[in-house]
Amino acid sequence: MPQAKPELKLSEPLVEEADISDFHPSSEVFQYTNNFSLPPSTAASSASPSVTSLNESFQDLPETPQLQRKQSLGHLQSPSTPTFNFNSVQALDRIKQRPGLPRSYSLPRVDQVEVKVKPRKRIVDVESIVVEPEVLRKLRRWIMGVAIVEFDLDDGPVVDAVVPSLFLLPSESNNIAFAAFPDSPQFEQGEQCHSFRLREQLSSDYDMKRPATKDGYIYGFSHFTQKRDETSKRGYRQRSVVILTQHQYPALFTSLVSILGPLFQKHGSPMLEAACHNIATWYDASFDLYRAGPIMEKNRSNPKPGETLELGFLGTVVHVEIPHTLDQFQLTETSSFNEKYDPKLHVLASCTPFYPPPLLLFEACLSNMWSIWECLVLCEPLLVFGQSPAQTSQAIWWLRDLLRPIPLAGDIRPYFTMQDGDHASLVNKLPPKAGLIIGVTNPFFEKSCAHWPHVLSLGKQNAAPSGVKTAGPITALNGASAGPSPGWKTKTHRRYISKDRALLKELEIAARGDDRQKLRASFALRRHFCSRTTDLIAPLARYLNTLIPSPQEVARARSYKSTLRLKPFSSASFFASLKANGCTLPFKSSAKRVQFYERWLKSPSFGMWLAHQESIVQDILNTPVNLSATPSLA
Amino acid sequence: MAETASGSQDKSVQVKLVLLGEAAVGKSSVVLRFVSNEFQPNKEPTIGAAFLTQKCRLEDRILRYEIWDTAGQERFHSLAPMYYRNAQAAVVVYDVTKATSLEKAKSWVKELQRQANPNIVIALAGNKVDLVQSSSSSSGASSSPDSEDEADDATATPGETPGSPGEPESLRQVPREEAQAYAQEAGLLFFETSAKTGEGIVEVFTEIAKKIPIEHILAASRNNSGRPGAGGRGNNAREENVNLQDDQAKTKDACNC
Repeated sequence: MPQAKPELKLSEPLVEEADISDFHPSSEVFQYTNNFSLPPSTAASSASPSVTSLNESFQDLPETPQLQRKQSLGHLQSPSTPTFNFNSVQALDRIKQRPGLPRSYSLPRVDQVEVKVKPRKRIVDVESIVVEPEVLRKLRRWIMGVAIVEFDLDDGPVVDAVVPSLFLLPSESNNIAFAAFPDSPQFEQGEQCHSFRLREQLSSDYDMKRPATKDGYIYGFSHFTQKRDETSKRGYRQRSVVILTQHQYPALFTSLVSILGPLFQKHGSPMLEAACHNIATWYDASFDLYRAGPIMEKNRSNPKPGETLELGFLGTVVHVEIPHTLDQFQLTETSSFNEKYDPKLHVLASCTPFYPPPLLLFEACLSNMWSIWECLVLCEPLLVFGQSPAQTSQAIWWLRDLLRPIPLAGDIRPYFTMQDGDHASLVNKLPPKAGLIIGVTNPFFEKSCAHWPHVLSLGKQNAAPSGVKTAGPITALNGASAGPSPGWKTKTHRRYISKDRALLKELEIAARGDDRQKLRASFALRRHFCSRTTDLIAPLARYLNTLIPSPQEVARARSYKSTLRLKPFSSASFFASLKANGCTLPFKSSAKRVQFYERWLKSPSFGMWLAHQESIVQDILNTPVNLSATPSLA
Repeated sequence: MAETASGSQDKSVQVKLVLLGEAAVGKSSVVLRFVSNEFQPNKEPTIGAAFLTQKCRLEDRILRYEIWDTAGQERFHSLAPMYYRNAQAAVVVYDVTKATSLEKAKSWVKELQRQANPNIVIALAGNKVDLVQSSSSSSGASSSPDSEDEADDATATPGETPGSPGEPESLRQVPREEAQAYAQEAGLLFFETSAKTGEGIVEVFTEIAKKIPIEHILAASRNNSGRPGAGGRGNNAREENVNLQDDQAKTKDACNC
């Protein structure tokens, strides 16, 4: 192990390379006496080899280690030291009382302060994992890397390694470290999967240092374990294995990390190596980004989107359907598997994981689902509370799914912590941004988001957290469940559409049934809102079809070689069309119908949807293939 | 022909098959020959395990092999159980020009018999037989002393190093009779193969296909958590012996993939 590395790095000359704009504007001062700024996780033990784990992530940099470049910046934001008020004795109690060290709440507390800083032994021998450039290129079609996050007793969560080595800013690395762990105790011993979404903080100058994301966000899929460990001072070992990817395929990556996590625990580094090489042999996942890349291996052509892939992963074959676009609703009924869709066997990539049955999340608010759906469509900000990150992330992805085929206009965070670099910009005194949906487990958010219009609290009263596999008994750790009690609370929203009472009845019965009934009901609920969304769009699609240039106009425009486009959208004529043709969405009254559409037409998601329709039409009209082809909108 | 990891499953029977054996004996080359009918002289070492699929017709049945081609290198040894877990078939490969590789193969067979699915069909394949052809078998002459180290080049073969031309017979370190006797005793299918020329490759997979208790897989696969091989299967297929010569002759083209 490279013991001397940290010192070496420190003695290197400083080169100013940083652009202040790389860092988040809401600056807080690092609390360390150390004047070189590592993420808090490693700063405390600068002499330990753990520092090298950071150096690893910078190895792509030409010569200037990032560690020093910030030295001159002085004031830096530290995402891990949010300015919340410790007015809760309970919370204070849970935080390790050490000045200068950020803590999360995820550990059984210790009262003793460790004085000696022991060098932390890295569990992943990154040097031994060599990934050929070609393998790396193929691997990165699917994932950016796999991060191993350790809970260091002195330093809190720390990214131990990312394989293959991935350039991350210290703030990003810190973000990943905190997002990888639950921020409340989950179980005495056990494992759990959750996901998160982090904003990339790299400025365009650093673009070449790591693979491009698709939307400026990194998606993390974490497998967290907590085990008794005699060798640890606190008697427990906590670790997360995190798949970092540019793709929004929650069901797929949750399923992958739930395979990889336990195997990594058992076998260590060779498992990461094997996983990376497996993934590198898969087909191209990103049909748009890399289509121009080199030809696939012989006998392998790119699959058509919508096709089923068989992905061999560490001894398991994962059958997965990749959607045509992220806004396509992947139906369980018409999935492309050659047999009936079986949630145990098949993965619809863009869906939320279907285990445990999502119905469990909404048990306390089944009768409010219609209001919740309306809020989603109208881009209302939502605060979602859960007992575990597993719950919140499953719920957020589920809600996103219900919106399809309407594009996602707002920012969603399946699991959001106070240590997130965006905490100050998303959660502050201002009204929350349109379409913002965050999943949280920390009860502090109840206070800091007190002014938010809607709160959805998951689960049912007094229920044990779902989605948790426990090896030991669930102790009283969950305690008197902090945060709002399960259910839907809104200050402003009044429902426009009617509930489907028959379905509601069905859901309520299923909620008392077994897992299979709950899963079936979950699918029924999903299908129901899928058709509601379709009903919502139908009058607009009908109206848009009248805006498509007629064949004569097309012919004329083509002879002048002018660009063809959809005629301008007019609200007035849309409402006239709505009035004349009606709508299958069961509004409570026609006045409500008009009000609802008026609101929706002003929402960012309508804007995105319309822009998308316009580009579809324009693409078809301006493709000089078939003059008689008339576009039509779904 | 080579139907790799794309969707279509049809109504075929899924068979999980694992390849095991020492580094550089040619496991990946055997698979490549079977799946793509190709040969690459200098194939890079496998890391972890590669996954490939190939369909195979046997009489009126279509088998679909899900092949896990494992890494031979020692550091990946501990990962092997997850590849042979629930496997219905295994091909244990050794290199006829390297005596130690048979010893390694034997230890793999032992491990499989101890820890894998009790009904797993195991085939022993002595690869690189093209290097020792031109006369019959045997002569346990110890030629160029192979170092015990893992070769960097996965398919490093003594015959291909310049300076040791000809004398194919002297390259053989594992007499056919010896390996065959061992296979018989351990209840394994036995073949000598050459991924380079294609000799014996299809036969390996055809004979395995014949020996797999298909009906049991069909019955078990969709009942027990849907994973082929997850359920137990009845009779011990390993009991019966196989007349290699006859079978090979008969089934030359049985596997028209």
